[in-house]
This record gives sequence, C-alpha cells and structure tokens, in this order.
Amino acid sequence: MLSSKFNWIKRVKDVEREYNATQFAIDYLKNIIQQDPNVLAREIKVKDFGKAAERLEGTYTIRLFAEFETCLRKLWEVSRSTKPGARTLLDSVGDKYGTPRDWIDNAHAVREYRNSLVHEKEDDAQPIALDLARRYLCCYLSRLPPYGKW
Amino acid sequence: MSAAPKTERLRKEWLDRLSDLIQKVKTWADELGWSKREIEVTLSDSQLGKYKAPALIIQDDAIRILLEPIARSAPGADGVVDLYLMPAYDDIASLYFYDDDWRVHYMFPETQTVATIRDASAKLLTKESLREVLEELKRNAV
Repeated sequence: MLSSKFNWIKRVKDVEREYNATQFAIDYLKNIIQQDPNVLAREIKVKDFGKAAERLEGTYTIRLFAEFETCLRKLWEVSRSTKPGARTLLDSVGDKYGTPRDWIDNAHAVREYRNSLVHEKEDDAQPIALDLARRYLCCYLSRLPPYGKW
Repeated sequence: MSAAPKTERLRKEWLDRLSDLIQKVKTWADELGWSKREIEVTLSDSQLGKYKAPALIIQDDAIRILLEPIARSAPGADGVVDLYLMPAYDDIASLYFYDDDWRVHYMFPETQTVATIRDASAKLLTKESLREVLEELKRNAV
C-alpha cells in the first residue's frame, strides 16, 4: 500500500495539536488549584502536578521527534535492511531527496535537543520550542517523495 | 433511525459540505491565478470512525497554503477546516461553518489582536476575504 508523505507530516502536526490541548487543560487546572489545592486527588501532590506542567513541552518534543523518526525509518526500510543511528538517517535521507542543508541542520537541532531530554546530558543542547521544532521537522519531511511504499 | 444509516448520513453531509468548499476555493484559486492540487487526508471521528476526506493545496509563487478538514463539528459550528502555511505547517486561519455558510477566522490587519485564531474576527468566506488572507501572507513572507 502506498503511503502519503502528507499523512506523515500530519502525524507530526497532530502531536503539536495534542500538546496544545494538554497545555490548555493544565493551565486551566493550575488556576483552579491555585484557588483550592484540595481539588487534587489525594494521591496527586501539588509539586507533582507542577513537575508535570513544567515538563510537558519536553515530553511532547520527544513524541514529536518519535513520529518524525518513525517516518524516516519506514522510508529507509523500503530499500535497506540496516538500522542506522538517527544522525546518519537524517543526513542520508536528507541528502537523497535534496533537502537544503539548513533544513537538515534544523532537524539535527531538534534531534540533539530531544537527546538532551531523553539522556539527561550534562551539556544540554539548545532548547527548542515545540512549535519551532514542528516547523523544522515538517519542512524536512516536505522534501520526501509524495507517495511511497512506506 | 438506527446508528449505521445515521452515521452514513452524517458522513455524507459533511463530505458533501467539504467537497462544495473545496470546489469553491478551487474556482477562486483559478480566478486569482493560483495553482491548486487536491489531496486526500484520513480523518478519525468518534461517531464517523476513520474516513477519507478531500483537502486542497493552493500555491502562488513561494506561498503554499493547505486547506485541511479538521472536524465535522465543534461547539457552535458544523464543520472546521484549518488553513496552514506550508511546508512548515504554520497555523494561519480557521474556517468554521455556521449560519449556513463558511466563515474565515483570521487576524486581519485592521482588527484587534487576540490570543487564538478561534477568537479572531470572522468574515464570510468569499473570494475577496480569501484573497485578503493570501495577500497578507505574501506581504509577510520573508
């Protein structure tokens, strides 16, 4: 079955939409908790709620990149049986489809930030806002073929 | 009416509404000299399940816009279609169907700035209001 590039791009955008919905819910609940901390269920502490709110964007950034990487890996597996690291994958696929170097570099910036979130590296990569990460990854994906067996 | 025929009727109404919108915008795109390409997207709805729907890409020079159906219904509307600036998929405007017509919610230059597109002032979707949005994008393009 042929897969559409657009549907992959949409999957990345859908992560941002979910993040926006969740952020809205958290902001709403935060206001309520500030007025009455007792609204939280007994097993949920205010500080845990605070941490969840603080780490929300990072959590969704990891998911955003996961959708993006899944698309590239499926594309890669159409013709190859190797399993390259994400850095090589981005470079190879980008080069194959004539992706502008800036766009490849931007996707790498998202990859590095996502790595810093996942691996808690000491030398943290530059944080990237989720909407900017989405821009970078969607631009990269726009260079893929419109349809393919992936 | 049992569930299946009602679901089918709702899906057909929505897809017919979408097709009319797409056809209208295609006609305007031709008149404005923009190129266009219809594509198919997969939507998922708790009532209608998974189904295919039409979407439209229109382009003038370096500006490429996607008209993407979002939902069959929303509070106060019987259809939601979003406009995005591609390839980055940046939110531009939203189209809501209510009072028997499509209205474009967009932060037009002469209107008050608001937090979300939903809160932006609404205009009836016409060739002129669409042209306004597209021209504003071209003016702001780097």
